[in-house]
Amino acid sequence: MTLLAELRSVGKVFPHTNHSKDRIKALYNLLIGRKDQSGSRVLHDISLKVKRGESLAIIGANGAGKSTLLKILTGVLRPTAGSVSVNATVAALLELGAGFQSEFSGLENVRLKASLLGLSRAELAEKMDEILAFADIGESIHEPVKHYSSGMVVRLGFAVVTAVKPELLITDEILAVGDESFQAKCIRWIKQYLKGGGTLLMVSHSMYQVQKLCKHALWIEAGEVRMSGDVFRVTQSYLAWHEQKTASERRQSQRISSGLYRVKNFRIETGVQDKTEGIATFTRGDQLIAELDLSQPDEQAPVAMFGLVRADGTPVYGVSSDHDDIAATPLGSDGCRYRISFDNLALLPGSYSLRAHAMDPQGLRICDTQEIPFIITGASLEVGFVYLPHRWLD
Amino acid sequence: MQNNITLIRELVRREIRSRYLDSLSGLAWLVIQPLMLLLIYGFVFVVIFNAKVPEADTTGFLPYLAIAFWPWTAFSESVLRSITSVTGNAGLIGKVAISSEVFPIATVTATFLMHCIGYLAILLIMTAMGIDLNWLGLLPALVILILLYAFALALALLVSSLNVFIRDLEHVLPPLMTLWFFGTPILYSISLIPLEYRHWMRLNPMTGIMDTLRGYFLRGEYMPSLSLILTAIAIMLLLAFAFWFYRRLSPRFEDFF
Repeated sequence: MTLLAELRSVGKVFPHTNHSKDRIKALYNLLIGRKDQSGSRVLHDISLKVKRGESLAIIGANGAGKSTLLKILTGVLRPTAGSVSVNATVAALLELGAGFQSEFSGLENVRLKASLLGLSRAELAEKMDEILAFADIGESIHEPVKHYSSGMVVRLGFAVVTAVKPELLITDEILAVGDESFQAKCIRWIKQYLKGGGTLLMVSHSMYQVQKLCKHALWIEAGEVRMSGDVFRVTQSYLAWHEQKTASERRQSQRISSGLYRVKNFRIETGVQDKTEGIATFTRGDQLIAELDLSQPDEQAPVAMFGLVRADGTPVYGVSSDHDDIAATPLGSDGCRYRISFDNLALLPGSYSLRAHAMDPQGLRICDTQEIPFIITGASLEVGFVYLPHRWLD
Repeated sequence: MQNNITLIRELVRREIRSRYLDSLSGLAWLVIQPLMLLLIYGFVFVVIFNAKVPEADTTGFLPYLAIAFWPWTAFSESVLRSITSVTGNAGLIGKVAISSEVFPIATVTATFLMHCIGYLAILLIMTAMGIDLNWLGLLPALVILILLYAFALALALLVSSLNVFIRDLEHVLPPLMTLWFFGTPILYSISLIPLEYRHWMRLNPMTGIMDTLRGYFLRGEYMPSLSLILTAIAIMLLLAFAFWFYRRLSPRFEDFF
């Protein structure tokens, strides 16, 4: 496979530009050819190879450096370290209305954009109908672009790209703007384009789109590569990281009050221990067994409750021992034990937690809570978090 | 390269459209605006000050003024307009990979093209009014206009790239241009300048250029002077330097928008 683009340990530092003194100093350094590395670091040591036929998603939190990376790939920005080589015709849709002039009509902008993408006049004339049909914005094409809705702008921008059929297509979060039908049209087009040997590099926050369109993913965090490889593996870790981040933010605000009944010991017995973080991992259909020891200061045994939540805290399923009329097994003089098994775990791939609550014997008040994260691995395009048994009918 | 030429053509077309063809009376402004300025200067200098230029006894003051006035307007307007040709297109430069020098080039080209049409129109009008012009001078004048274009382009590349780093340029340059206008024998002749200042005036490359143009159209003198040749060489060197300067700075434009 041929290499269309390559980044070799690319770094980018944005210079300070707020004071005119900084700007003049930068100007002077540029003219005498001195490298100036002061400023804010956006990217650090990123290496990347894009082969023909590749479909790669770049994912990461806001401010991680995704857009800067794309800009460097398209040649809009020059890196301050490392090198970039691109040998392909590239069409990039960076941000909304990339390269559109708001005073001009849609038609004028199509012409300009097409010439920016290297289409000659004759080629453009040939493809104009096709472009207008794809954009499908009707008579608005003669209106100035400043009166367009953001969806219309994206339509127009994407339509031009479809006519150019670049070797390498780079898109930055543009599909998020179009309406459902246009999104579907774009996705259909991109799939067709990929099938025809096209190469795609996209930034998106929609993991669904990413999984649907890309084979590989690159996760960047604070300007550095955090993980790269198979799209499912990377997106799952990324989502898990996100969910844990939101969950820990939430947990800090609601530390559960303790009472008489406490969780003494809580563990998940089954599952494979993940090497790096020691988290139990399962695949769908596995059995999850958990053991919970509670303190019991008097004769009455506390009620145990188990809750399955997604890593961001969204409840999936909860059940308590008094719902099911289960009695605790006494444990020593001041404790009791509950064990539960979730057979045939129907959770979809992602990060989850099992929560154990110690409740008063009446099952009214939660006295203590403990939580253990676990991971469901696997590749799946299904949406949601639980597998529902189903069959397709004729 | 091919891409850039298509792009420049598209930008020039667009600029001409937006500046002239979209306005109410379209192309007419191209002639009307400088013509009005010319009449104002003519009124002030000929009628009020009763200005006499020794070289222009036969043809009168107005043609003498017009022949230098249009090229100057083309030159000064293209330099002034180009100041913001990079910063004004920051949105485009920041999102599409293009060599940004197409913007100052397109601005200068569009301005020159339009004013050349205006120049031709005013020469025709003067001929129709019975003023005896040397039309043979048009051909060498074209060479001078190209030289002037190269000069404007060199300055445009310098100021448009500098303006990314030093925004004050937008405010500093217009008065400097006015100063240059009055320091060039456009409204007057160099023979009116006291002898001891004249060699200073000769240092201004515009002096020789304007004088040469008048020589072509009014006096039928076609021999290039040594100073004109030196000026031409200096302008070419400046243009080469301007391209070097611009390309040195342009990779970092995006960081400073």
